Amino acid sequence: MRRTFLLTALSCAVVACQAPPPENISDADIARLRAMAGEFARAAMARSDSANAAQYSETAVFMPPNQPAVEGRAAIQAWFKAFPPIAAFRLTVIEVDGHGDVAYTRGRYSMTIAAAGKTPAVSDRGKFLAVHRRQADGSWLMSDDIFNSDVPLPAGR
Amino acid sequence: MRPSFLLTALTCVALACQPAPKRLSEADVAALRAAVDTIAAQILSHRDSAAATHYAEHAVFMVPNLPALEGRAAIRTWFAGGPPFTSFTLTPKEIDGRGDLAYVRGTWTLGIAAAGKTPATQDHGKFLEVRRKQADGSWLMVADIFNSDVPLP
Repeated sequence: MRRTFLLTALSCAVVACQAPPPENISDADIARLRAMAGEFARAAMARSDSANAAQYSETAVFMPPNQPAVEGRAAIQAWFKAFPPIAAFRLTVIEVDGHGDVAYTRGRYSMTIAAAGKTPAVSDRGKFLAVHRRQADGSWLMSDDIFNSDVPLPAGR
Repeated sequence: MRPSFLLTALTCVALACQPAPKRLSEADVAALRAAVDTIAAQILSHRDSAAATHYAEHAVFMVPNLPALEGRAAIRTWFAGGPPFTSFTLTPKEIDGRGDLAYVRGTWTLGIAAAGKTPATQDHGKFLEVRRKQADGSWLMVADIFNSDVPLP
């Protein structure tokens, strides 16, 4: 009786383990990654550079245009802190996909930098691509983030 | 004695069976590195059709200062419309992924020859591409973006 129970229990465990590992990320993961984009945009508008930086992993690489990559959460936070005030900022996630604990988001941004002194307001729009890693606590943090503008350079540049 | 054996056995099985995302194999990483080297050589020699074959049919290529290019045909047209390069390098800094999903982050350098009144241009920057493994084992880009490190004048 006990031997039968043992064999049955072990068989059940082995059969249960035949299930393939999770592949594509779940709907909940996708919803969370989409929500993070909204939170990121709101943090940028509110000049909460620590909230923006908190979406990056400790060793993340942030790649803004026209300057070298910014490496590490502390440097990323300093970058956001130095960024001029934003009058409007929107992130639109077009694609979210992933496998296991790696995911990516691709989308568009639009942004207006507030006028300051004699500097008029500047509007920009473009596209981004970010790689996210699921953390041990189930949260997602960006490990790689890059964007560029859609706006043509003025003639001669 | 038997209950403890049963618990131990079940614990061992459970631990051994923890589903873990499948990391890229060394062969996958080598294939991705080789693919980056190959497209760099094809872009340098203006083999536009060959370069475009590294992109999935519905890939999105995000070039600075213009809207995203969608689809392999549009990407090939963009390559064909570019000026001749005197040099072009792609250097992967990070290659990672899970299962059939991978990404490559790296740096690039570019030289464009002088043409007419246009002086020679040197540029450098960074890129990030997301690739999907195909049924034949190859890795095609589904999303690709880059920008320059050089400050605007």
